[in-house]
Amino acid sequence: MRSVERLHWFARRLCSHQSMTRIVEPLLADMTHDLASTQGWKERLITRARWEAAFLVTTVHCSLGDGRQSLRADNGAGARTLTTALGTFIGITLLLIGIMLIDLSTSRAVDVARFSVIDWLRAAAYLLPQGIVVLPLSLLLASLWSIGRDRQSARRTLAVLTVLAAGLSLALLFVIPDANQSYRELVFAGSRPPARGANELPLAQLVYSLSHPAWFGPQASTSSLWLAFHSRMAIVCSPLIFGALAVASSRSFSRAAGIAAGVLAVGAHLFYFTWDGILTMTEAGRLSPFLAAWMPNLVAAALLIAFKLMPPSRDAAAPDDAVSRG
Amino acid sequence: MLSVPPKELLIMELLADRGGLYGLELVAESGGRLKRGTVYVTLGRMEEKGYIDSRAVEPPAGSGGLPRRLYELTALGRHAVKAARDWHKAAKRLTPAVAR
Repeated sequence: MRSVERLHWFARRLCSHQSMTRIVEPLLADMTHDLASTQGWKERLITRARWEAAFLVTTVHCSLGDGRQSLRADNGAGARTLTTALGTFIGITLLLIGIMLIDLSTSRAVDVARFSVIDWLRAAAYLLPQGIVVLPLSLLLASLWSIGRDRQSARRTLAVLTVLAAGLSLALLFVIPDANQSYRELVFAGSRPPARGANELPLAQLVYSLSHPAWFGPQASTSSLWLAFHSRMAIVCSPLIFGALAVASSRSFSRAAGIAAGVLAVGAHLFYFTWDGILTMTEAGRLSPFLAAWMPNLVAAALLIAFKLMPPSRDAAAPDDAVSRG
Repeated sequence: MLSVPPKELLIMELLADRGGLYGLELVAESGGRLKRGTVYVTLGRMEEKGYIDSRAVEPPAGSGGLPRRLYELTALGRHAVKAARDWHKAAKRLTPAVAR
């Protein structure tokens, strides 16, 4: 009896009220009845195993079905966030690939004819994550497009953003530095492989070289090391800050204004992070590495506070807005 | 034309022949064609479509546990079973004629 109560408790956390009353509880009631009428410990064990397998299959099915239903009821807010964020990410990555296939020092195209299959894989490993720099902003754009006005939509969209942010953190802290170095070795093939710069150092080495600057060597200043460190931390935090900004601003923006603001923000972010002036100013000591790296987040946080203080506009907060967005 | 999935039709035929049944009894009566892991989901879907109805039956006093759910055909369900049986009869009559 106690095991049935445990299963009931477990299912109640996964399934909706309707699934519980229509599907899970009838199964548990029949299971209790069947087990009570089974004789002999072996037969009882087999019966229990069969029912518990049936319970798992049914509960997983119900929870998936309930998830799909709630997404549909919400006009697919979570799915739309994911699709738009990934679409923007892929678009900007393709743009960056186009830019990077040109050798800026000679203004000629990089000779890709000499690349082997392994070289292509290394190039892809380097090029594909480059759009990650603008991913936080593409998430903002996605959220402004996706978020309904209700609290549940906002929670669901923030959950999708959190999962994307976790993936972003892993890529940024552990994959991209090695991918950057791999591409440098590929481009400078034939000559001596270049030493790692600040952006090519794995996180552990970056932290070590900040406390032991002599170990790293003269190829980068302490400022550029700090800038690389703060940039990684700032970009990891960006999706959540920008996600919260999107939730807050969606109460004040109409849909069209929200999309326009998102596109402008993506453009501004792309420009900011690819602008050499940031590095130059940081190395010259005119801008602190912390401020340079955290600037977009600080601006977003200031806007977030402003939106939180601002009363929601009547048009944007219309309850049927989620339907009109579909 | 009314289209009913084979498992739903089987459940409706069992309910039409034997009256109200529990999920577990449907699995036993089906001779292995219905499984414990899927029958309750199918029953839930059929209830949404309006083919069947269910009511909670409290367990005997002292035995404890959750109330069991007894499933019965609705008027729409009976109509669907009748339509399916008529269609099968017509198809059987037609098959020898086509074969000739």
